Amino acid sequence: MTAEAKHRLIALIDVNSFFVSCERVFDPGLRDNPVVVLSNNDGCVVARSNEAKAMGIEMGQPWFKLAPRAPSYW
Amino acid sequence: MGSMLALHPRPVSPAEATTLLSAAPVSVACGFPSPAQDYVTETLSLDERLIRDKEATFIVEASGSSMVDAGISDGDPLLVEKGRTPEHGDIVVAVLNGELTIKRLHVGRGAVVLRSESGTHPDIVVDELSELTIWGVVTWSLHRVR
Repeated sequence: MTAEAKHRLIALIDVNSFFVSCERVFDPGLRDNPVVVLSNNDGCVVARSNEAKAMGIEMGQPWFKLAPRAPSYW
Repeated sequence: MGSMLALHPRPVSPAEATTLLSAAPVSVACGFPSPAQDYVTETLSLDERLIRDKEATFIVEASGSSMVDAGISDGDPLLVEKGRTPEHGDIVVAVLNGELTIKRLHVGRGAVVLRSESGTHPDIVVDELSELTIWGVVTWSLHRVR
């Protein structure tokens, strides 16, 4: 191994519920609420806040199945 | 009146710095064109002038009138820099009640206060800066005059 390879540092950055966390940066009103982020086109859950996880929402669930449980936010 | 809010935060454009103005070493006079016009050497980039850290800078729209005395009018676009340590006297964007609000920050001995310039809204008083969520520091207010 080269001297350079021995000293190489690799950073791994993991963020809790990444997409949800991103949305919350620009909309603080989403904090403390159950939030899910959906995929393009299919509209399946790709990120869940802790509150959403506690509600039993599973990764990959399509939105049409969750919609009846969602109160109006916007 | 309610707190002035910071709406629709968006990042600044990632485009290359645009050269918009020539800082001509002449003043606008009537009649005689200045021979110095051919010797303009300095151009001014608004991106360079206004933005210190592009990745950390966002534009928000001021909504409300409680910060008029600070030079921020309703509808003005504001440049807000995140990640900058707020200091006493800064106009900041703070998270209050789930909203991004615009306030003046006062840091004193033993107390930190968020104040709206007009004085019609109650002060937010905490013991330490770390108790507040400061979203960013307002660096520029862009007020349209025409």
